[in-house]
Amino acid sequence: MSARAGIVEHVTCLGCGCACDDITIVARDGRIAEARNACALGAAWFGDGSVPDEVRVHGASASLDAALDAAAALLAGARRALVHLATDVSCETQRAALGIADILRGAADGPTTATAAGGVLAAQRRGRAGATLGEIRNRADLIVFWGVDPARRYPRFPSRYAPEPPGVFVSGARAVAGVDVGDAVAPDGVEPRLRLDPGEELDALAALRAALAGRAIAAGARALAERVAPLAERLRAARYAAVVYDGESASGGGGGGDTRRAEGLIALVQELNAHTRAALCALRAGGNRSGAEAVMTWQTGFPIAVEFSRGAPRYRPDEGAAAWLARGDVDALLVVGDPAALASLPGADAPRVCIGPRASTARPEAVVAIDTGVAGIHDGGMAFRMDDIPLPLRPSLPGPRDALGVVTALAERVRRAAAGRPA
Amino acid sequence: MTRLRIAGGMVYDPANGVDGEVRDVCIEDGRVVASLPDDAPRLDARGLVVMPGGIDIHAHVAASSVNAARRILPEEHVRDPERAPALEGGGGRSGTGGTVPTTFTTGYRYAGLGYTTVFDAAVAPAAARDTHAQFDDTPIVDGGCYILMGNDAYLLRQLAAGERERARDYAAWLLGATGGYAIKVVNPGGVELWKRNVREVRSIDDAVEVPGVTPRAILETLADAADALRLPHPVHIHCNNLGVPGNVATTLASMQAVDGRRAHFTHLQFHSYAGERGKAWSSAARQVIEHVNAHPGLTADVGQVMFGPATTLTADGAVEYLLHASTGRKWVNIDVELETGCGIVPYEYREKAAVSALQWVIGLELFLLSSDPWRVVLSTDHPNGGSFASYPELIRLLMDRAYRDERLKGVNQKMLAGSALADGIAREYTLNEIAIITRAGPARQLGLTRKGHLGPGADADVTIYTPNADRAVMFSTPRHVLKGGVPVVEEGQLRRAPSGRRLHVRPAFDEGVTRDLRRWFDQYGTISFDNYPVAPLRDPAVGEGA
Amino acid sequence: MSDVVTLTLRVPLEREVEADVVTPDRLATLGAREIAALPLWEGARRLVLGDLFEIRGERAARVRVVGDCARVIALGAGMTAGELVVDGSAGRYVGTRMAGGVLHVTGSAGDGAGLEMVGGVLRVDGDAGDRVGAARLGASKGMLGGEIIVRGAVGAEAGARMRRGLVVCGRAGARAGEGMIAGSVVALGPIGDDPGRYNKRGSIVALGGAPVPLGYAYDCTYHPPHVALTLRMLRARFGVVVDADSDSAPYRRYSGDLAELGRGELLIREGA
Repeated sequence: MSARAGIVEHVTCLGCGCACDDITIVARDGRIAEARNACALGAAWFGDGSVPDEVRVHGASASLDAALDAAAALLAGARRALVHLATDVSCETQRAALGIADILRGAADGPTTATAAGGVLAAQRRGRAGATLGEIRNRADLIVFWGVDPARRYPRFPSRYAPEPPGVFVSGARAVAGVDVGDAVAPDGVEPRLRLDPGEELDALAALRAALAGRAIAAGARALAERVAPLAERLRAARYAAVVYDGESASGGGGGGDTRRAEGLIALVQELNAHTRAALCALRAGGNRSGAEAVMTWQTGFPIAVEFSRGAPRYRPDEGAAAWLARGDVDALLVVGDPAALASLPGADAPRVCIGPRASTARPEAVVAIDTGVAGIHDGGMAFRMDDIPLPLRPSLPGPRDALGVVTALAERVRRAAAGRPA
Repeated sequence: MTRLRIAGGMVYDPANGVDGEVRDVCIEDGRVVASLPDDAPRLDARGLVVMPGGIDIHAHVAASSVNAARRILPEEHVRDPERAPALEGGGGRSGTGGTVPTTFTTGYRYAGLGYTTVFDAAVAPAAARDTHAQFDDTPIVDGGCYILMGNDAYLLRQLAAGERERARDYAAWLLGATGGYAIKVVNPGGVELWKRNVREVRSIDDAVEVPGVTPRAILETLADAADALRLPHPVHIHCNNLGVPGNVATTLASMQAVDGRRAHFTHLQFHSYAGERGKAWSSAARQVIEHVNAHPGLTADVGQVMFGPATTLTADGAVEYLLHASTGRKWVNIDVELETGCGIVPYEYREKAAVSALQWVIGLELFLLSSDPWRVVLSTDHPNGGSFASYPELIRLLMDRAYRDERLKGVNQKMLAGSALADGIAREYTLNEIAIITRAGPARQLGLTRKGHLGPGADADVTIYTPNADRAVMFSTPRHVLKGGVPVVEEGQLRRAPSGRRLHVRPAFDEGVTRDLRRWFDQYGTISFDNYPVAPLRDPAVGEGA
Repeated sequence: MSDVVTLTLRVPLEREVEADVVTPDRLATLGAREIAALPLWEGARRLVLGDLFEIRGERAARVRVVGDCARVIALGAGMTAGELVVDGSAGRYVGTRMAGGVLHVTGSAGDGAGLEMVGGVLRVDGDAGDRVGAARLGASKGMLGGEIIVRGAVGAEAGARMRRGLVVCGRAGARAGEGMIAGSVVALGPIGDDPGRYNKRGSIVALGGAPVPLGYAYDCTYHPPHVALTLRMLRARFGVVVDADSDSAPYRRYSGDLAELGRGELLIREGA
């Protein structure tokens, strides 16, 4: 093996929330030549591992030192700074970035608010009956794909978690069932299959619960009850059932509707545990967004949408980054992570500092842009799988400066600058 | 900072036989030393009470389960915002409190009570990395964690195969791989049964997987392992049937099962109930504590229930389902792959509720009937029996009989007939005994030779209180707290928040186990064997290096 | 000392300002200068009350707020006693977590009026937005007690997750009474789609008709005495106009949500 080639095994992929950690990266001439075991989505996430490596202030190249000074000045002078924990940075970086929002008495949010807040809020109301992915793999004898074909956005879920791999406590093939909700369909070929119009979904979930609890149902619901009865029977007969749905709203109604759907699914699976064992599995996208929720939770007590203007965290899930930006309430935005997702938000043209992978490509261009490595390709640290299992990140390529170092240095400068401001 | 003479305080250092004597405590470079030159800086402690820093032997503060609990408690967090403390040089962090505070707030509040060391009592091995990250954000206190093993599928397989030595090697490997401090057993075998929809463990001889794999075998094996590996803390046992009336039978059977070995029985209060399911409950505190009193190899913490809000969170998933079903409150269950479980239900202990009152009484009986404070120490199983913030109130209950009796009158009496406390217990803990059950005792049980005392060589973790007849006031507002020699609380104000150290062990084992384990991971794991161990910790393992 | 403290908005607001300090029990203890120094928040910007409001009177538990306060949020939040009259409209979260006293909005109220209210009376003469008397997002319990009387229409999720107390409104939007634990929602007008999902023991009364969700089963048609009592109380105490026929009219009773305990009820006035 030449000095310019290298192989790194057991690499964790953040292409989706599956966070497969069995990827072997083969690098040649400073580029990723091969990502073995990766699915198409994962291969695209790794790409060839090349990322821009620039430090810019007002569009011109600058030294890191000058860029950090400019960023600290912009943030410390803001009336309200918003720190957005974007994708593809490690938990260590997220922890440091959240500290900046706290010290500035600003606000902080992550990608979950825009795509998966429904599941978070529903779980806050009711809790949830869940399991880590490995428990589903090793124990579930019935997998119900509820309005989702994981092959589309979570390609290796079936082969790594369920239903395909052997499980310690699963003998023989496991049973699979599907629920189609309008266009959100279960995998091809899965039978039995319940077909629902989106408008029927909440009532179907309720009918399933009523059937499991043995409660009488309204006359008008009998037709629906008959349609869901076979699924209810299967769920009850399972030793350990896993109900898998897409926690990202693209497949559901979105917005408030998503909360109700998540609540219906949570309530169903909790009820199921009165009779047999069951777990609800919300599929989540990648980039360590689950890490952003976890870090926000342990530092502030809230997983999303926090603001610190009164000196302590306040929970504002009714607002969040999009609302603050749209209202013009943010006069400095710090994006830590890949800035791509934020471009679509209204009001995201507030003066910005971008630190993270491809920061210099953000449009409109940031006041300060500092390119860093991608967590899991160039940067190490820790990231969370969709089920909150923490995994190590193994860098396989040298990259630009690491995000943690940059954010830590910025935090220190912001702390010094903020120490001079009146409280 | 490097030198300080704490001069003229009333020193309570039971590990060194010092009971309220007026003397100086000298500190140099973070440790206690025998003497200092006369010109060393002084802290005038005349008229004040000086103790080692508090040690919480059993709390839930930094596990993945703790974060899962934080996540579902927005109501509590909204009501208890905690602004950043005004630290010297800035950098203080805000947070939220309630029964499960955020990490920074947890560190600050523990230090604010004079506690300087905290153990998280239930860490799922696969999520240990999460625990270390949370501890990294929990300032001031030294932290360690106990690793859940009592329902581990690989371990149960070794028992089924009669491979107890391999089970021991696995336990050793797992402690090192996770950065853990002790072996934890929660409802041995019972969590695996819960995953199989078997919701009751009738006796410690119930078969879990195959004949021979029983709670008894799990307890014996892990107690032996802790002894053979010379771990500083023995196996830390949460018995079967937590919270179930009549569980005194399994509790005593479990204690007998580990006879002749070292063992720590945790939150004993939750395991000291007479009665039957669905019928009346009563106290079995006397039976349990008399057994402990008579068996010097056993240690325990009480797990006192305190009236007010709590959050029940445990690896014992089956218990939490029952609590959810009976209260209708929000409920989290997370089955953790091939290792353990997790259940969470917010709860409130009410004076007017018969069961809450009984639990409160049983905890106090255990404390007051214990003959050896070194072996029966203070805990509320935070946040299960109540928050660590209630420790000062608990100390007052132990030290002040008049207050205790007054409180007793106000609680529901329905289940208290025949209880020792209702019949009257005169005992009042002394300050020296409080120093034992909150400092010296936990340190001894944990094998922490540098903590819990103020002799030369000890870590300079020191709490200085202003005496007050109201012990709750005294213990909730330390005047000064030093951590590793750093004055973190000065004149009642939190002024510094250095990072705490990590307490962990790295026992030796036969490497042969890793070959078998690699096969197991390859076949059934969802985490690569090579990715399983946490990153090397900054602090050396206990017993290695400085 | 004066009878009443009057706060008059100097100029219309362009941005929302949070004014949770404005509660009669607090103002009752403060002099004019202290009132003027109370903090208000425009996003993260700290203002003082005197910047935006002209203040007349001091140390009175009767407070009158004058001007278009549709962008003033959280007025009367947490108030425990006294009287607060908003002479005009109030912004979001008026009366959030109020525990006592009387809060009267003569115009309309924004979203979240009386959110997680604990006690007292909140009256709105105009319309109110979404989530009247409901729980905050992510919280499991809404209103715990007290009375909310909205003469006009209310938005979605009125009374969602309430545990005790009474919400009265004209027309109600979608998802009224979602997840009610107990308590009552009374709509004098019609109720929108999908009322009472996840309702445990709550009572939803529709004088102007309501769709019957699939989770509710018909029980009977009868003359519920508690409805007649409630309506009489509303006329007597709050001057609410309800035709007298409603007291003696028959109501169809449905119980639900059957997926939950099934002990909640939906009462729909016959012929509506």
